[in-house]
Amino acid sequence: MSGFVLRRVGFACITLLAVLTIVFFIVRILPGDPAMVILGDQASQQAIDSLRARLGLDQPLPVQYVQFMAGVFAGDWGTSLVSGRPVIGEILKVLPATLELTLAALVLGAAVGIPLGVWSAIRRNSVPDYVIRLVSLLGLSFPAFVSAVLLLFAFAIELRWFPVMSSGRGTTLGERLSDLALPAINLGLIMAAYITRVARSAMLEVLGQDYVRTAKAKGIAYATIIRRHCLRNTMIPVVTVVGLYLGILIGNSVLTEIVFNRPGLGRLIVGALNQRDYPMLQGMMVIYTLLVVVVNLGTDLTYGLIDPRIKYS
Amino acid sequence: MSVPDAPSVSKATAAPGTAAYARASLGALGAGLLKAFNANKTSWVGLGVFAIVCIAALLAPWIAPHDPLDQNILKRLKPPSAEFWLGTDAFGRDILSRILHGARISLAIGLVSITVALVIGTAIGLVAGYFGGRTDIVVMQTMDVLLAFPSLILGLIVVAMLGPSVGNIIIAIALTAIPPFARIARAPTIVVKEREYIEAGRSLGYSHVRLMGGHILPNILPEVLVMGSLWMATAIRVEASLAFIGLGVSPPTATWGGMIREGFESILDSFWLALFPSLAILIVVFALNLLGDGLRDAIDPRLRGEG
Repeated sequence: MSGFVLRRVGFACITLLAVLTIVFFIVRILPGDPAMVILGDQASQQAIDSLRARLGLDQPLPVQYVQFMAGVFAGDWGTSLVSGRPVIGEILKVLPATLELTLAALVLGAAVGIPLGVWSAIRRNSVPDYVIRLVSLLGLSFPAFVSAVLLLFAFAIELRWFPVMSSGRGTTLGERLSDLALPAINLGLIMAAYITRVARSAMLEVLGQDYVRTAKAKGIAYATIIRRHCLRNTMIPVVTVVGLYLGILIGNSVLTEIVFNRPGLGRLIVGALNQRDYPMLQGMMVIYTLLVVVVNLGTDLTYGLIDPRIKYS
Repeated sequence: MSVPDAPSVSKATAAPGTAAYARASLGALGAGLLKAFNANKTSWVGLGVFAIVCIAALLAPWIAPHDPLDQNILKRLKPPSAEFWLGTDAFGRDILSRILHGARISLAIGLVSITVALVIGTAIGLVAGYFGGRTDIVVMQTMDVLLAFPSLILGLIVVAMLGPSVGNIIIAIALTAIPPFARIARAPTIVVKEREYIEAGRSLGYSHVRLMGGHILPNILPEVLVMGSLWMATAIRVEASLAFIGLGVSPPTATWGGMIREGFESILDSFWLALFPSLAILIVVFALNLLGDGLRDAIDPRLRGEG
C-alpha cells in the first residue's frame, strides 16, 4: 500500500514539474512581448524596459525558469499589475468560492448520475434506458454558459426562486446555499450527464462478466448481484473518468461564474485577460495545474481504495 | 477490432499498393461506416440534422432574409415578427440572418480545427503505438500531461496572447484536441500491428511508413472518424464559449457565442437575443453528438452483439 502511494505521489510530482514547465514556456513562447502588449504601441522604450525588468523578463531564459520554479514553491507568484497585490493572495481569496461550487457540482452530479446510469444499464434497451441516454446526451451538448443563461432566465428572473446575482459572500448558511444553488445545479447537471454515461457503460461491461453469470447460476437474487457484485466494480471507471472530466468541470465553472456573476477563479481569469495582467495569468495557470495534479492524485488513490487488486500491481 | 476489418473479396484479390487496392480499402471503410450507421438509427438523425445545418450555412448569403451586418436603429430589439422571423438585436440587425451567417464561422472553425487535430493527433498516436517502447512512453506521457490541463483555460490563454482571429482560434482549439486523438489512435494500433498481415508486410520489406499508412491506418480510421464527430461538437462548444467570454472572432462579424454575449446584456427585456443562438448551438452540438455516439456504439467491440 505505502509503495503504491509513494509511486503515485512521485508520479504526481513529475507531472507537476512537467506542466509547470509547459506553463512557463507557453507564457513566454507566444509571440508578442508582454511588456509591449501591456503598455501598448505608444509606450516609450524606457517604460517598456523598466516593466520588463520589473517582470524579470530582462533575465536570460534559464535564470527566469529557476526564478519561476523557486517562486512557485516558495509561494511568491509575482505581483498583480492591476491591483499591485501579491497574485497568490488574490487567488487564495476567491479559491474557496470556486472549490465550493465545483465540489457541490461534483456531489450533485454523482448523486444524480450514478443511479441513473446504473438503472439505465440494468434496463438496457427499455424505454427508460432510451430516455436516459438521450437526455444525458442532450445534457452534455449544452455549453455551460447556455444552460446557465437558461437557468438564470427561468428560475431567477421569471420564477424569482433564487437571487439573480449570487454574491458568494452570504453570511448565514441559508444565504450561502441560495447563492450556490443555481450555479451548482448548472454545473452539477452537466456533470451528471457525463457521469450517467460512464456509469451506464461501466455497468454494462460488468454485467457481461463471467462472475455475474456464475452468481446468476447460483440463484442469487438479482438485486443482490447488482449490489454486491456489480456496483463496486462499476465505481472504478466512474472514479477515473470523473478525475479526467475535472478539466471540463473547471472550464465550465469559469463560464458559470461569469453568467451568475459569482466571485471565483473564473472571474479573476477573465479580468486578468481583459487587463492583460500577465503575472496574474501565469499565477492562474499555476493554480489550475496544482488543482489538476492534486485531483488526479486523489483519483489514483481512491482507485486503490475501491479496488484492492491495484495495490499489488 | 473495427468494422472494415471484415475481409472483403475485392481487397483480398487486389495487389497491395495499387489503385484498385486503395479503392477496395476505401470501399471497405465505406461499407463499415454504412453498417455502423444502420446498427443505430439515431446516427442517421444526427447526420440528417447536421447536413441540413451545413447546407443552410453554405447557402447563407442567398437564403438569409437580411444582411447580417445591416443596422436599423428604428427597428432595434423587435420581437419575432413576419419581417424578422427571430426578431432583431440591439442594433436592429436581423437575428435569423446573423444565426445563418454565424453558422459558417462555427462550422468552419470546428471543421478545420478538428481536421488539423485529427491528422496530427492520429499521426502521433500511430507512431507511438507502432514503435512502442520508449517512444511510446515519452510521447503518451507528454500527451497525458497536456490532456490534464483544462482545455478551455488553455484555449483562453492561447487566444488571449495571439489575438482573437479565426486562425488563432483554430490553433487554440486544435492544440487542445490533439492529445485525445493521439490516445484514440494509439490503442487500436497496438492491437492491429500484431496481426499476421503486418508481419507479412514486414517480411516483404515494406517500409514503416507504408505499413503504418497503408495497412494500419485504414483499420483504425473508423474509430478516429467517430471521435472526430464527437470532438467537432466539443470544438463548436469551445468556440462559442470563447466568443461568450469575449475572445471570439471580433464584432461585428456574427458568431453564435458573440450573439449570446450581446443578448445576455438585455436578457431581462429581450430574451430572444440570447435564446435563438443558444438553440442553434444546442441543435448542432446535439446532432453531432447523436451522430458520433450512435456510431461509437456500433463499432465498439465490447458492446457489439449484446442486448
